[in-house]
Amino acid sequence: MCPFGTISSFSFSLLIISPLIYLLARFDRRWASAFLALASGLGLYKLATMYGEWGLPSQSFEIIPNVTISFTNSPIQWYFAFIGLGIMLTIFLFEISWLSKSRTPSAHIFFEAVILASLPGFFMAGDLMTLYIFFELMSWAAFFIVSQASEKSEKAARTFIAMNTTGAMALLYVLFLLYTRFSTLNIEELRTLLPSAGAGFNLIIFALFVFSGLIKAGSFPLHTWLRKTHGNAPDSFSAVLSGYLIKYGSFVVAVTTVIFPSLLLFSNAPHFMGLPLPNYILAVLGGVSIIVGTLMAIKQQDAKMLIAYSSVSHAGYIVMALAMVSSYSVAGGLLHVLVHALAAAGMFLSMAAVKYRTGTTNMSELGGLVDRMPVTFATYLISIISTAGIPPMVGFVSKWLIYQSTITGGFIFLSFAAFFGSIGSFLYVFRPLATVFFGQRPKRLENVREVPFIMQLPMIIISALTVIFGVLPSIALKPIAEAERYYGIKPVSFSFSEIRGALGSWNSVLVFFVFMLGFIMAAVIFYLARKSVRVGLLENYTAGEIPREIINSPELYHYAHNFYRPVERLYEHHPSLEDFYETALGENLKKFGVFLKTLFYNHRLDWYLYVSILTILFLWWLL
Amino acid sequence: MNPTFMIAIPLLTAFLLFVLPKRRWLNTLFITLVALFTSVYSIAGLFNIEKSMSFGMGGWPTPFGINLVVDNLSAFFVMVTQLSFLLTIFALFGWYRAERYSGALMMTFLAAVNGMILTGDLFNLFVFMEIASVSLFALLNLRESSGSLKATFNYMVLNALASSVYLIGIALVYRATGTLNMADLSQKWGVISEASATTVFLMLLTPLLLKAEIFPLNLWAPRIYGRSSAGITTLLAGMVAPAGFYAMIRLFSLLSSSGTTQNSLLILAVLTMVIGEVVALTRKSLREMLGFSSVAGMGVLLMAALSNAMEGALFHLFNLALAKVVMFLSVELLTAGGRDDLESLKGTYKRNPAMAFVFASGAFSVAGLPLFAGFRSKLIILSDMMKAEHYIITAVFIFASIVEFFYYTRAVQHIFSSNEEIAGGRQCSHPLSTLVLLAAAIFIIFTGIYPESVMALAEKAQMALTDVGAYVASVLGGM
Amino acid sequence: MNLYTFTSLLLIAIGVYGLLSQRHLFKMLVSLSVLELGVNILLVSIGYSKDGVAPILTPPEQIINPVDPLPQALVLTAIVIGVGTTALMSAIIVKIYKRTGTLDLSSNRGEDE
Repeated sequence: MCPFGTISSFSFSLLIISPLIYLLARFDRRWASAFLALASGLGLYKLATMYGEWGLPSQSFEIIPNVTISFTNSPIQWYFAFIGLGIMLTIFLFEISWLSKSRTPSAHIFFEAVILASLPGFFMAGDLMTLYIFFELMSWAAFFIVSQASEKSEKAARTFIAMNTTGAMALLYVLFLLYTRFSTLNIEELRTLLPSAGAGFNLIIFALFVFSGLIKAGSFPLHTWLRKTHGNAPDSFSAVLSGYLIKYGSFVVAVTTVIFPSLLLFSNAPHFMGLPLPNYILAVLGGVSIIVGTLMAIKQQDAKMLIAYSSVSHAGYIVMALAMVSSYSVAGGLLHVLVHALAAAGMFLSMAAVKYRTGTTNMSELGGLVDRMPVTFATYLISIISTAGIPPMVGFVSKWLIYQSTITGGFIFLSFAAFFGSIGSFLYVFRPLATVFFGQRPKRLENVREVPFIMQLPMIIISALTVIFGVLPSIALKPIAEAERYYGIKPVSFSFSEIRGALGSWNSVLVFFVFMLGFIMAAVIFYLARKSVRVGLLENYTAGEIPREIINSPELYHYAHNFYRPVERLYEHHPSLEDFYETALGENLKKFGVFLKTLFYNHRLDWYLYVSILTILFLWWLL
Repeated sequence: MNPTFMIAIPLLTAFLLFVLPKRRWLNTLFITLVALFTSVYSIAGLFNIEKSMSFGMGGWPTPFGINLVVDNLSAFFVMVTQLSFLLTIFALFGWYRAERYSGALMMTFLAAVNGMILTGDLFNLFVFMEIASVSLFALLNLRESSGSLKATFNYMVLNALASSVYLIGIALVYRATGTLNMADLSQKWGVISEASATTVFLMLLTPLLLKAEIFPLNLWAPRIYGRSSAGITTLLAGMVAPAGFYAMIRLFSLLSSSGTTQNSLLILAVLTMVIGEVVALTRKSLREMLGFSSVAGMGVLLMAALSNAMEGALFHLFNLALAKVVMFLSVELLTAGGRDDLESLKGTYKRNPAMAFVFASGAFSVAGLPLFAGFRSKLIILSDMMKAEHYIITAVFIFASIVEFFYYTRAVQHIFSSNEEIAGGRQCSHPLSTLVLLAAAIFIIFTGIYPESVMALAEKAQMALTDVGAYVASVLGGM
Repeated sequence: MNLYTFTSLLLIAIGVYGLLSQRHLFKMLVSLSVLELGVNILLVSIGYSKDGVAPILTPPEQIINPVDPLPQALVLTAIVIGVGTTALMSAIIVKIYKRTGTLDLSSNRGEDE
């Protein structure tokens, strides 16, 4: 058996030895990273052996009366934890070499050990308190990792921690509401107890859960921390953040809608298109998130920020699908968790690889890296095909399942949002591809080489998995169907090579071979045809003349600059939620604090006396 | 434990310091030994208190003379204040040599704070309160460079006013009941009509609210915190405020008060908390931020105490006092007495990693991060407040916690910033202070993981607080 | 309300008025002392009874109308404490004067903001 024993001791022993990992990293960072990769591998192995043994609770120590740190195993939890550990494994492999670019490798690896420890603890949590504790640990560790990258990232990290703590505290509040009502926090018990509570109570619970889930998932209207945090985090950690940590939020949403039987809880609430109103509102928020994420991603100049907004859009898909709680939507939503985890990890890792070699992710400073970094390019290409939901990759399957449910349910807006996100993502994911990997290579990038093999390996693994799951989605659908059965939702029906939907069926193997055929034919034509003529990028623009600006700031004439200007012009003057939270909440709270300081703590004795007397009078009037 | 020693020995030491030869190291050694003795004596005593014990002073029978009371509650508070004092003495050991004046003042201060907690007499409480504040503020202004004179003046005026109100309250109590003994008074409290009882009760509470830094009587506090050296601020946050809080909850349990009084105080507590946290968010100077945060912490304690979460409040008090003392001291050692605004603290962990770690553990404990002591006590408070159906106040508390979490993580982030090159190599503090503070930090984490031992003490203290009968019987019954 | 209580309340009121209206540090200290004096008189007036005898050195059987000795003891202590506080405050005021050269409370000279 695995030396870690149960999954809870995996978490705890990692937490306990994390200081040792720090020391190990001081000694040699590569060993520390390799050790963590090995640990995640062991965790994966342990999880694999636990498949099928559902509902085995394991308890440890008591936190408050009747509440212990406890763990359990149910299909959804298993599924989330398995993907998480898998992503962490690839990241740690990547970091064996990448860490040489980090300024504080030991601290980086220490906090990642804490995150790795929090991961199974969070997803396998048997009760909400465990969920909360491990979430706090995760955000705390992530906060410090993000802070380490640069001056700018410190502010980004503060935005991150402010919003995530707010989400966590909302969770804490709802947790105590539940505890006072039912004197238990066990998720399974709450599942059976919740229907006995009134609809009003359940609505409050639902709203607070969703609030906290949307913050963590980075979904509209609480997505604003994503751009800054992902854009400014250390490069390999962006992959963890986007690939996995925002799935903590998806998990909370899954707990709210699927594990807690939301359809049953709101069966007496007003329905809209056959969905209870709370669920419908949540789904619409998911839909808006898709649209907002897509539109904003189109605007970004920095590849990492672009991918961050694509995460907003994908979080929207997951939220929307999970909110609808139908057979296809839950399957699609859960599968999309896998899709986005792989795709985001692939995209961010390839961008991290680009930055590893070139030192930037600003698209207008890059170009033509395709023949210099072929593996990175291939990873990026496969990931974006999956993101955009184009057939042979797994991304298509999840979106196809989500379409099934939006169309059969007759949700016009949701269907529109889902299609819009798909088409929009063609636009934005193509942009880094065209500008980073294609186009003319700037002079200073002539000597760029492919990253070392140990960094290629995780990218190859992720690409391979994206293709394999695309050809055989039935592998991933097996635990998903199990989860649906476990929570009383009709499981999707599928066979080895075929998924049967409401609007027809999808034979992925067949499609794959058709695509391969097309690909081979295209390749044959490409190689038989005449070679293309290379034209300098800048000559295209200036028609032979050389204006003065081109000497001073050539990047303005790079074709990545204002790539989608015509599209952006359509929504140039949009209101910004990011500014809204920062000024309306953050700045105004500070202004209020300064006001209170000058009002009360102004260091004037007579004023102190008046304030005391006035307060007494106020209380007298109040009571 | 015989409470007389807790007061008499420090007082005696204060006078002895003037007889002893004028050697600074000797003075320092002497007061350290006394602090060590009283701490060990009180903590050892804490573990074998069966029931409430009363000690009459000066051979007078109890309701007429002054008496000292030792029960689980007062012993718990004595332990908290003693620990704060001991940590301060040890942490400052490296660079602080007591001249005889400051040594004597420290000793009278220690005696007075112990007296405030152990006494069972209202007038005696007044005397000890005055001695504590006079000696503390004399200490604050002893050295020309430290402190803010005007802030001290403001405090003294407010304190004198509050004490006058207290004395008037005493006069009224004595006129109505003919006793000033707390236990005796709790029996005779009923003879005062309800309206005047509320007035008198609030009058008695006034200087305690001032000591416990409850809004609007805390307006003096942040300035003192922001301007003073660590030794003084730890004595304020770790000793005076807990002692004031103790006297307050003791009066609450002994003298029945109307719901109106309790509610109005609850509102004040919540105001203290919210104003303190929100203002702390805007402060750039770390000491001032900690000052506002201490004020807010006292608000949290009173709020919890008034909304049925007494056990959590006591446990939280222990954690807060420890964390605050540790943080004030580590900031002092981290900045090496220099500037303490957030920007100039950037990257200071490279200069003194041990102190940075100590500060971080204190900060995370107060902020309530899992694995640290403050998290456990906050959970208990939240859980008990929810059980008592204080939904809105709990939500406000949660809001304050978010703000608190934010500015503490911000401070820690600045200290641990790797984006700043720091001038000058390592400047480690005195090994003894480093060792003691590291031990305290590790204890904070230990309590966060295994809180049972401290929680058991808090639980016993809470039981002693609610068991008014035993208290009264021990004072009056043993006549 | 007897004369003593009235006097004491009057003194307290004068003290509070002085504190609120004066800006001169020593005048504020004097107001505070007046206030404390008022409080002390109030305390003594509790134990007062007309034509009473202080029960000191008088054999118990001769005392018909004793004065309550406890408030007097309290006031003695309170006076001593008041002296201590006043001394400390005067010292602080002198220090303030030395540092800032003014005795005006509302002046902010010498206080860095």
